[in-house]
Amino acid sequence: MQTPKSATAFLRWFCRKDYLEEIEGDLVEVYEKEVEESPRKAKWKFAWSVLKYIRPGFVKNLSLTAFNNPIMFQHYLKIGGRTLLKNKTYSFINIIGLTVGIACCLSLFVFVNYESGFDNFHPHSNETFRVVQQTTYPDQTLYWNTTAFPLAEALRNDFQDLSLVTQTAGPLNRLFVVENQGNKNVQFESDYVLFVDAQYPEVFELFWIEGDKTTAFQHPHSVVLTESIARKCFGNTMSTESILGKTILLAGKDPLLVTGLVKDVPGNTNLRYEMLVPYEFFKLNNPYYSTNWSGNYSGTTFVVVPENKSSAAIESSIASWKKKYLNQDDDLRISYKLQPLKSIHTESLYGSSPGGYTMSATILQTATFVGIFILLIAVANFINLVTANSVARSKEVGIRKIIGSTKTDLFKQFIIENSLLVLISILLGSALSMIMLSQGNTILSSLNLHLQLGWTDAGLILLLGGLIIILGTFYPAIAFSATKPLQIISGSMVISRTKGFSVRKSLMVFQFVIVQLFIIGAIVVAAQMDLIKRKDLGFNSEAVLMIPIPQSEKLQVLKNELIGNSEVEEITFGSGPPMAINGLQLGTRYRSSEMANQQGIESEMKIGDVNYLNFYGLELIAGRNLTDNKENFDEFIVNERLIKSLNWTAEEAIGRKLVINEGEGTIIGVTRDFHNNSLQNDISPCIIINWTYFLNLAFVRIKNVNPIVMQSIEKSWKETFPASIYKYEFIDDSIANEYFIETISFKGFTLFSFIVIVIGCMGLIGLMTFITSRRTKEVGIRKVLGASVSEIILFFSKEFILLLLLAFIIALPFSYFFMQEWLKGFTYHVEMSIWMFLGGGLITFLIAGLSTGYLATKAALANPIKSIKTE
Amino acid sequence: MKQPSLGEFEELVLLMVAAQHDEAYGVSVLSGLENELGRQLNISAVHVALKRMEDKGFVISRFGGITEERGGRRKKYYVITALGKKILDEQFDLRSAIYQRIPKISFS
Repeated sequence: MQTPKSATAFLRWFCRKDYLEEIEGDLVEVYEKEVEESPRKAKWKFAWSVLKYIRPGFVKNLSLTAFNNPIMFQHYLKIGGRTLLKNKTYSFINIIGLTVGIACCLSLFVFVNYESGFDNFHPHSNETFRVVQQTTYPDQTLYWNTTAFPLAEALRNDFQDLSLVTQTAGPLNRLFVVENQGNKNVQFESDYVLFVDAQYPEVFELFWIEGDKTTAFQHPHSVVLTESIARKCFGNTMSTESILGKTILLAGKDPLLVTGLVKDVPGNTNLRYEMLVPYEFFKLNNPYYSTNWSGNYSGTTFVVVPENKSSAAIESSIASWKKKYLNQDDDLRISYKLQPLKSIHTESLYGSSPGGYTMSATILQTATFVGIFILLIAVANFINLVTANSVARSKEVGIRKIIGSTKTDLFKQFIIENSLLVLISILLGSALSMIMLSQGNTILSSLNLHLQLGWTDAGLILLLGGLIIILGTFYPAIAFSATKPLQIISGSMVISRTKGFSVRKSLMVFQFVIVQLFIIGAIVVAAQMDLIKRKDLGFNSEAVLMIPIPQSEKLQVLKNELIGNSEVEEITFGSGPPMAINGLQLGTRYRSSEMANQQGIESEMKIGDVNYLNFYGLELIAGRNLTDNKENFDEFIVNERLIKSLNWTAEEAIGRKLVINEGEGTIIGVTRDFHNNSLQNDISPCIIINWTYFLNLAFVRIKNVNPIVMQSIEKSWKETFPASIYKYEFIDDSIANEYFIETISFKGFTLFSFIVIVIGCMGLIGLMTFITSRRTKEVGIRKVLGASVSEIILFFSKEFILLLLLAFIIALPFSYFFMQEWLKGFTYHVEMSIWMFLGGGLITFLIAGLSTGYLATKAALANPIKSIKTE
Repeated sequence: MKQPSLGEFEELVLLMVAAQHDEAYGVSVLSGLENELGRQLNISAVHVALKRMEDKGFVISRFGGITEERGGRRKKYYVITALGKKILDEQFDLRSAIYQRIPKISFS
């Protein structure tokens, strides 16, 4: 009569020795009685009864002798250290693999943690909401992260439920002058001048160095500086107290008194600032904007909803209240929503606040998965290598057992030795992760990233370490301690092919499924990025320098200066390049003269002079070009998308009247569609107008880009506009910048794929070493009997090829699904083809083949006499 | 000294051990109780009760000889101690004393 083996073994493992015989005997007796009725039921009942003995009185006392006994502990550490030093290659590969895995995983987790913790440090961050605006038109809905400026004040006056309401404007670009020592004025520029009202510091945490929140914003003509801008203006040597009370001239004319000094804005906030100026000042200087309810510029409103009130209730009362201020048309179109402060950063619908960026939840999820996968693959790798190495030590195990080591002792020894390895890797991994994070901060400095591994992450590191020790060392330790001493000593150990090996095989398949996923993913991502880079945008942006025109009346002066420069090929003026960059686009609405007033369709308005079309190579498919510069505009050039929306052909469109928000004009030309939006978005209707008032940028095409030309252009510009700060950008760079997040994700993904592949290969090499070393003799005998080298290589590779094939087949549907999801984010995306998958498979086979082929060849070429002689 | 208590199930097991004098071991107690109660019990429950009562000093145990049965594992026999008997008597007296006080009214 056979009792269930595993249950019995389990009982023996945990049960007290002095109770065991009785319990086992009684269990067996009951089992024998019941097995006659129903064997299945009896088995289940047996197992169930065994489980019921897991209670305090019946479980063995935990023995921690290895830790209680410092001599054994020292011994294990010493032997562990010696083993690591003895097999330097093995230790090196193993530690490097694990270190890199841990470092990547940690860095990604820190990144995800940082990105998902935006604005969580404010006193009311859970109850703070941003007021966002939805504008509904018949054809579409627009989502705004900004609202009309007077909103906050109105809310504050009319809603007693809202405890705090704050209005900001900006961050805006401003020039300012500091009167320096020796009466020399120095000009500075800041992109992040934020106008905030007195309630702002109640809602948002400012880290004060000098001054405080009650006094700093009292007078309209005051300013609070961040530490770094204060240093920039007043030098590093000046004490913080003496900066207080200094004056700066905003835009060169308005004196502002420095009333406070705060620490630099933390990286994980959506609304950046370098200088904080009272909102009252903005109101004084922009009386039109700050009282206008129909405009939507750069005002952001935040409200704090008390805990006992629901945001939905407030939202609905705002919906019925807004007609008090909005005109009838706006009241129908505009609805205000409350967006939780904490979800601003990961929701792309409304976008971040001006000057900020969003990180979509998808990217964060992907990063988390990548981190977990890299760690898993590193652990799988670790297991493979450790197990492979333990075979080499089977003699040691045999002798230890014969001398009197118990299974538990060996288990402990193994765990301690490998924990040493894990510990080293954890330390190195944390250090590497710090380096990676600081590199990341530098590369992504435009995002104002402040990633760092702090003490708070110690818990995470410990957790990772514990997880690796449990996942990575328990299985090999059991296999290690279970070897039979006599078999080892007599050299008749047979590798059980079914049991232990299958764990390694499945680990390998698992590793290669992941490797395969990453390789295919990287191919698809690369193809998509290539598409973006090579996509014909419909215009020529090569070697185009974009410079500002601060005073439009001096436009002609600059033009004459630059035309004289022999290195300048062409020049044109406009409101922006054909594709919107830096999120800047002029918007308007248009309708044909037959359409009713509110039926307008959203479109882009582009201002360009006579040369604009030629300069960018925009092709006219009907009509003629714009005529010379005029004060007022009446000529429109439109794109195909626009006439399609009105159901006109290009020829029909010529001569038709079009009404836009700014006035009325005649269509004189139709251009072929060009990408006026970045490729995440579709082409939108576009109207090109020659309107001198808005020609605030100059575009210069240079023959050969070199420092001398750049300097001479700068010189001409500075002579024309001596009071302004010179800035330039190359349109190609700015267009590439539109895909910044995509490019960074692509680069990150490529880097991590590469790491995954390297770690995966290490595992493969480890496994191959294991197999070839085990079969040295077999190979020798085969060779003596006449097997050729190629036959032996094939003999080793056959199994791998099958496993790789299996991994490939498993990875296919997953990679298809994941990449399909990713590509959906692009309006213009590559179609996945079978070649991407086959190519990915081929690359994996090649990499695996190269890394194992070397070892297989080495084994096959070995002298059979030697290998047979080896014991 | 406070006398150790006796749980309801423990009392049943103790009664069975006393009844099967010198022949009581895990399975015999189990089947005896199953017969009397008319329901299935788990052997682990019997073991838990026995071990607890052994700690409290209500029963003592000894190993039997090795036989062909149970894969050669010895049985462990339990015998009730004087303390165990005393506590059983007390339980019985307590119950019957209260029982006697039930008024003789017909329970229709």
